[in-house]
Amino acid sequence: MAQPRIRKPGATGAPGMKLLITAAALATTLGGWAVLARQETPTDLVTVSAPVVAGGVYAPVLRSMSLPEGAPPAQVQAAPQPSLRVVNAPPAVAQPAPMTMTRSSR
Amino acid sequence: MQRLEFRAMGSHMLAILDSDTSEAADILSLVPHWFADWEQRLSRFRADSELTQLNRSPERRVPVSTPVWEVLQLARWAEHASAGLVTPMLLEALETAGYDRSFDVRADACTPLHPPVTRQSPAALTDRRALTVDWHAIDMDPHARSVRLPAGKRLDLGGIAKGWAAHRAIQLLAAYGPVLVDAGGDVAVSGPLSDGSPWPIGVADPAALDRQIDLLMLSAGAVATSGRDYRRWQQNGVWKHHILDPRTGRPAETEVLSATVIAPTTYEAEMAAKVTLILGGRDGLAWLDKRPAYAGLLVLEDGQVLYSLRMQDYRWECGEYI
Repeated sequence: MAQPRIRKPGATGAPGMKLLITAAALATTLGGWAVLARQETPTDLVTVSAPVVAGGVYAPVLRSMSLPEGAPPAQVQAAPQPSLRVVNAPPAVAQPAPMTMTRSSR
Repeated sequence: MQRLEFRAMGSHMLAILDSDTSEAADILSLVPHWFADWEQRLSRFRADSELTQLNRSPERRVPVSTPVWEVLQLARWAEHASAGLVTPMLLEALETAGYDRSFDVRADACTPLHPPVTRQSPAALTDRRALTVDWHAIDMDPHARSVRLPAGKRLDLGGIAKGWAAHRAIQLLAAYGPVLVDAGGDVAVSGPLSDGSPWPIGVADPAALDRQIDLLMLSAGAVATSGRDYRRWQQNGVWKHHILDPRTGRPAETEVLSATVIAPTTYEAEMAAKVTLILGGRDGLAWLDKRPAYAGLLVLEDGQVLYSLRMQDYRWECGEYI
C-alpha cells in the first residue's frame, strides 16, 4: 500500500512569497537606518578602523568623531587674542654692604 | 654719616652716627672715653677696677658706681632669665680653666679654627652649688648703692658688661641721630637710618671671618654673637674655650661653633646667644623659638647653619623684614 504524499500547507506560488519576504526585510532595514540617523550623534565616538599595515606592524588608526555641537567645522572661530601689556620687571635689588659684622668678641 | 673705631674691653669697638653735624662729631669723639671709664669700673683684668676691689673685699659693704650697680642688676636678671646658664659666678672656674688674663695680652690665643670639643666624663661634674648665685646672700643696698659679697664668692661680669656698655652708648648718642654701636660684635641700633631703611649687619663666618654667611636687616634692637672660635686656648694639651657651662664648670660641650641672636637689647641678645651655644643646636633653637622677641642663627662645627623660626623676619635674603 503507497504512503500518502504529504503536502506542506499553503505552499501555493513560492516565487511570490519570496518576493514578499524580501521586500519586507528591505523595508525593515531601511526603516531602522532612518531611526538611527535621527538619533543624536555621540560626541566622543572614536572608531577604530582596520589596522594599517606599516612595515609589517599593525598600527591602530584612531579617528575622532567628536564635533562641537552646532558648530560647522568650516566656521570655527579663533579665540580672541588676549590683550598684552608690557610689564617692566623691577630691577634686581643689589645686596647692601654691611655697616658692620657681628662675630664672637675679639 | 660719621664713624669711629677704637679698642676697649679687649675688643674692637665701632660707633656710627647717621649725621654730618659738628655736634655729632663732637659727641662721637667722647665714645672711647666712655668705654675706657666703664672698663675701669667693670673689668676683672684691671687690678684697680671697682669690680676687682669688690671681689677682694668679701663680707664688706662696698659702695659701687651707677654702671657697676646697673650691670649687677642685669647679671641677676640674666641668671634668672637663663635658668642659671648665664651667671657671673664663674670667675674661679674661668681662672681654673686658664682664662686668667685678657686675650689682648695672651700669646697663645687662637690657632686652629676648629679645636676639638673635649668631652668630660660624667664623674668629673663639678659641685654646682659653688657655681650658682644665691642672690639673697649678696647684700645689695639700693639706697646706699653698696654691695656686700659673701665669703668665697667672686664675680665676673664679662659679656653682660659689654652688652650694657653698647646699650648705654646708644642711649647717650641717640639724641644726635640714628646710631649703631658695635662693642666687640655686640651690635645695638637706636632705630632705622635717616632714610627709614634698616641697618644692614653682616654675620661673620666663624671659620673665615672675612666671609659673610648672612646679612641681617635691623631697624631696632640688637644682635650679639657668642662663639668658641676665638677665645680659646690650650691647657695641658687640652683645648678650652671661654663659654663655661655652669652645670659642669667646664667649657660647654656643644656642636655649636657660634650663635647669633637678635633681641630688643644687647644684654638680652648677649644672654640668649650664650644660652643657645651652651644648649646646643636642637635645644638652643627650641629655647629661642619659645621666646617671640628673639631670633637666632647657629653655625655648627660641621658647617651647617640653622635658623630659628623668626630669623626670616631679619634676613635680607628673605625679602620682607621688620
